[in-house]
Amino acid sequence: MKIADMHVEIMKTMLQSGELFCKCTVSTANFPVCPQADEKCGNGACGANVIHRKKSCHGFVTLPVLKEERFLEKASKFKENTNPEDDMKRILLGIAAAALVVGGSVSASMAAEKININGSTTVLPIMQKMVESYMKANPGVEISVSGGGSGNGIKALLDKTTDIAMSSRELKASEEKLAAEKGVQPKSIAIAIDAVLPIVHPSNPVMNLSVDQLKGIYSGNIRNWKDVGGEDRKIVVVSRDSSSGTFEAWNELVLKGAKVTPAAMMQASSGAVIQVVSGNKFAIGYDSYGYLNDTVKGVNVNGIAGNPENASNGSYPVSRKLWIMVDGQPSAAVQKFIDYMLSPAGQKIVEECGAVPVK
Amino acid sequence: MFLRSGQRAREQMIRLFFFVAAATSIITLSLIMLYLLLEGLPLFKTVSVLDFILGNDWYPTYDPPSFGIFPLLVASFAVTVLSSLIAVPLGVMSAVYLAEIASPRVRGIFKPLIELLAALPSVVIGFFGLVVVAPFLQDTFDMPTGLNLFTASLMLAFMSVPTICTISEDAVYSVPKDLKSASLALGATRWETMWRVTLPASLSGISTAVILGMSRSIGETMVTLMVAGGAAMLPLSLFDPVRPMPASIAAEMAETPFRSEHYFALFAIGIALFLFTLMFNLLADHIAHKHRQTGAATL
Repeated sequence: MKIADMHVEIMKTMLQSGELFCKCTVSTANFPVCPQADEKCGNGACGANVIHRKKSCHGFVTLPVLKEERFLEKASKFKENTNPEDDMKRILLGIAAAALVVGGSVSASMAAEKININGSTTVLPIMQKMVESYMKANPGVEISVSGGGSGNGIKALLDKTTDIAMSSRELKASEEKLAAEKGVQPKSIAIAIDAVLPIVHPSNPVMNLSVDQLKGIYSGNIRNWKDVGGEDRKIVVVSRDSSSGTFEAWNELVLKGAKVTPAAMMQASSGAVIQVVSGNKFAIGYDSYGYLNDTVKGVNVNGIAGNPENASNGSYPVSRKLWIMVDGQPSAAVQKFIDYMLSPAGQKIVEECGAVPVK
Repeated sequence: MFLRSGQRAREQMIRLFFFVAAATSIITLSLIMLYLLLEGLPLFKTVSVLDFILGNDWYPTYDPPSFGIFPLLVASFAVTVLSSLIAVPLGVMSAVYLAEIASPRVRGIFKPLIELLAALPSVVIGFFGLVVVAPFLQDTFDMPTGLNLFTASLMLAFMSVPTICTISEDAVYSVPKDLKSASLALGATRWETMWRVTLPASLSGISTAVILGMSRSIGETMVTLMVAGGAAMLPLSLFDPVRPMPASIAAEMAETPFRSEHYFALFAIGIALFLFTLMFNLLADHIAHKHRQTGAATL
């Protein structure tokens, strides 16, 4: 048994018996996650790469992590020591050092087989299919996917409770600031392009709307179809709920910061938007290209059809990239999965899900 | 009389058992209330209570956000009042019919049927409203949208009629025969007896029925989420889409960052909803007490 392994074993038993709590990079690798791992613990006084002893975060005895050569020196002394309980302090120092070394080496080998993914519900259907086919091809890998919205995914990444975050938007300034505080370096990779199409009832004669007209309709300045080339009827505005990723894309690309009219009927899901628009001759809504079906009609924006070609060449104005985000340099297993998503097979899945491939 | 010690111990045990049972439900409820307050009150560190209740703009995810729930409050109020206006007369009148006019055979058939309706899950009623009633009203009356205040109230009324009907029916049915016989003996017609004697005598029970029916529609989430339209604006007509408070909480909670301002605001809406329901219940309780009959008619 190697020295490092021995220390890991000691540390594991101490963690399990509750004698020791840890909040550092190793806690998510192959150790039980620290029950005290909360926001207060992750930054400020404690900081990462620190071993905590006993009870609440602020009552912790914190020990700085040793450099590698110093660890080896300590470790050899520890090995000579037949009764480790004699010198608790030395053990803890050894453990702290082991944590550093093991944390680096383990992430490449042992912890590699489990990947957690969390985030945007817009990316979720694509991700589920990706994971399905990836796990079929690589039986040893265990990937769990959950969709809690872009914000939640990014939050989980910053809290280091997920390996990959899915997001339908880029990082907000506030999130970048938080990442810096927490010592996380989020790296964004685009895996697909999502085109958001304005949709109307199939019987609606309007075929094309400009971004400005859409902005007018959604901000409540244009209220009648005759102002945009339709019948003399009131426009029924349908929108996604303001916390959804699709709304954020629409808000950013069409409304450009203007507030959506309070008369807009906010729907809780993409399916509900389709349902309402397909049942109302004078409604307008919007949805991702992948969700469109025969019951509604997509409208061109600025004269450009929202199809895969126009979205990938950038000419369609209401399109956005769908991202995955990782912390710094991902582990080999995560990197392998990312490579798969960007491979022709992965991009084919993107296409099957109604989104537009990036490659 | 003296009880033997074994008997006394048993009495004590039974008393303790019932005390624990009662305490458990009360403690659980107060803990839920405490949690609601703890999660909702932090909002008022940044938003004043007045801005929250009387604010006209509900833009929780904008920068800077605005947390005005006045349109949601009005929507809840409007939906509840309108649905009660439809449901209370319908429910009470069917109750009077079943208890006073219908033959025992008809009563035997209809009462269980109406009770069965009360067991209909709200999501089924919501779905029925979304797929059948809303498109029908929209096309028939040429409304801009079928998902509006009126449709939501109609579906909610549909939901609370069975509750109101069965409980009022019990109240009307249990009015003592003596009262009715006395009234008829004094020369009153059946209609006069019903209107002047039976109904006032059962008013307390009927108010309980109305409270239960209305509480169901105030707090109802699924139907309002599916049928009310979801627009956070002050309704100017019966046929404008609205966004009652429970629908707002249900639609937004899932995608709200944990313990963000928006999250606190949704809990604050929960507090408002709680106070709103409490107010309704107190009012109805007051009416019930005021009209409580004494003597043989006491329920």
